[in-house]
Amino acid sequence: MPVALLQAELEDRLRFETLLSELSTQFINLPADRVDGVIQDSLRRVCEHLDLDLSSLWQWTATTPRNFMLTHLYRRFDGPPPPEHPDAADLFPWLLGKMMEGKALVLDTERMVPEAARDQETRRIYGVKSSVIMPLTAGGGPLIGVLSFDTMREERAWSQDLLQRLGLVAQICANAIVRKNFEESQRENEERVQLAAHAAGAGLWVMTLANQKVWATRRLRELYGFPPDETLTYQSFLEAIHPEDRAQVGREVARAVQTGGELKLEYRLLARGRARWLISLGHSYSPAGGAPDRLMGVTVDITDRRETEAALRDLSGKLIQAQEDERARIAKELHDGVSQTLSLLAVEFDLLARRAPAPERLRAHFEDFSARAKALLGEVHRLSHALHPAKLEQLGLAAAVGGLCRDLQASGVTVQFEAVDVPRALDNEVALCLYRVCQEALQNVVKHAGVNRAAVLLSASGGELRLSIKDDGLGFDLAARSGHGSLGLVSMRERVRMVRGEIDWETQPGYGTVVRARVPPRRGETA
Amino acid sequence: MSARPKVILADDHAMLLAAFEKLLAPACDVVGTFTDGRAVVEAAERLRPDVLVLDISMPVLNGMDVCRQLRPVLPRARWIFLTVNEDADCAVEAFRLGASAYLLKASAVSELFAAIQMAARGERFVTPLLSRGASLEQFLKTSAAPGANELTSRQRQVLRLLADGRAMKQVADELKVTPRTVAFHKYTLMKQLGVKTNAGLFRAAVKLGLVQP
Repeated sequence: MPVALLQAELEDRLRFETLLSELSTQFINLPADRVDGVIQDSLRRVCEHLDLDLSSLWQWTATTPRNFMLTHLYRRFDGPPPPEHPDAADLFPWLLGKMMEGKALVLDTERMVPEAARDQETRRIYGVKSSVIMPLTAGGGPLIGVLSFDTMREERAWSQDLLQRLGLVAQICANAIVRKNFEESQRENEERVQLAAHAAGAGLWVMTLANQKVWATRRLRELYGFPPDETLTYQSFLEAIHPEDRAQVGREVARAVQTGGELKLEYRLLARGRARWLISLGHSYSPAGGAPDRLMGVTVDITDRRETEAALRDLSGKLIQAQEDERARIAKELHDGVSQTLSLLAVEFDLLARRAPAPERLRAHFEDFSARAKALLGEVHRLSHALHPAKLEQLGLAAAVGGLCRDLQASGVTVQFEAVDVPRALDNEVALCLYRVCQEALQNVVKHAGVNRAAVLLSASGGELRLSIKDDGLGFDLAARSGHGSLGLVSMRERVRMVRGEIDWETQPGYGTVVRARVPPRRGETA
Repeated sequence: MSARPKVILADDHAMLLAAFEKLLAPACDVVGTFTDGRAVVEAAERLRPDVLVLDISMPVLNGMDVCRQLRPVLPRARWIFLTVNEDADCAVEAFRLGASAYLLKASAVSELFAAIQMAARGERFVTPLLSRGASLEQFLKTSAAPGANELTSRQRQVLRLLADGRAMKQVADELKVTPRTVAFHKYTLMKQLGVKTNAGLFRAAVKLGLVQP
């Protein structure tokens, strides 16, 4: 090859390489909405550079699956306008089939196969003579579109070299389109999330850990009462939180950042008037393989829910209290009224039987009446005791709980009971609370644990009363049971809450159950 | 006690009180009847009764508290509880306080006078309606089971160390108290646990899980 020619070819190649690198540079960090314009411009520049007349780009669309739609068209000369809804399956059915195979094609008018008659017809209408048609894929992924370069004035021979260069152009376009599609779907997702968040009254936030700056949606700013344009930092949020909840929020956030775990917080805002409750859910976010650099999440106002819950809790507490009061009243009436009257009746029958100079038959009747009155007294006593354990007041909590444990023997469960330093005099409500909790827990042992042994420990230490009921039985799934309010868990929790104590369960299926309650000895003191 | 014992009766139910008084009149001197516990405490020292027959649930001061307060004042008096309370634990507590008898009002006609006579002889009696035919000792043993563990933490400490084989002096050193205090704990422990020997203490400690057998 003559040197001049070689040099010309090298220059030509260099110019094209420069063009390619310019094209691909343009796409870097290009906003999605400008990608189409730059593709259009690139097709023109490539055509001008290589002296080509026509270039068209066809893409899959979400709305017409398995069809290609014409999205970009460059023409050096005017021609008939493209159809309003160009559809490759209609215009190029043969070609479409070939493209699905994923290989580039070179077409000449002279050498079109008979099966491509419809395709050739379209080519003829638009005056296309010679074409290179390339499938668009990104990184060997699925077919996303087709790019063609064509001549209109004359047939052209496509050198291997040229085909390779055009292949690079196709690659650049494909990458740009894929990225644009991804960004658009990303933005769509984000918009959907924002829309959903807005509909739920939720505010969204992202905190950059490096500078503690916080990005927040309008709704979040409304929740916290921040102006729409104020720059927000982590500190701004902490300062808006109720002082009593601030430390806990700080701890949880730090933990979520350090462990990369989930964040779940319920806290109050510092507010005049009605206290507002918020819940924040979030998690830290790490760039691929790195340490967390962001914490993001969602925040919702739960004041109404909190207030409703509190009202319900107070109500259920009052219901329990009212029920206990009523039971105690009936028990006392049975004890003081019915029992005394029945006792008197028995005494009088006995006196009659003893004194009356009556026939033996009558005497036997009186004795029988007396015996029946005594039997009835036993029933009344059991009923009264079942309603309200009077011995709580008479003998104290330890004796009453001890009696409870002993009575369980009748149900086939032996309870080992221990009382350590339990004061005789306790607040009635506190004593009744622990008595009922123990009663309920032991009933659960009888009904559900499937064992015939349990242990109860009642003790006073460190200024609080502690009660534990332990069995080595079947155990249960606490989370599953709590939701359904079964096993009297709700009522136990409620009773303990009413006397400002705490109660917890240690159990899982197959590993027995320990119920532990701690209460202050007097109502109103915290445990 | 003379042939006709002096009896105080207390019950807040006037008709029952009257019935009991009538019941006792032929064989006892009923020196006072009261309808609340406080009145009993105020009058008892002056009346110097041989026997006090008390209801348990009475206004102002209940029968058991009357007993707690008056026992030191009337060391020789006998105490009989006459109640509608059929609770075995209540009966056990009554005997723990030093009662001679625990009766139900409904059986007063057949049991009250007999109980007073037994009390006079220093014997104890529990109504068969509660004991169901068992002896008093048997009744106390089966009913008192849960209460038997009611030791204070200091008592448990002492019991554990003694059962572990320490001498009283060693226990005293360890707990930083005088040997006299340890002796006192040992005495009350033996009484409370119903044992008379060191071996008995050891067995009780094992039963309570304080030491390994």
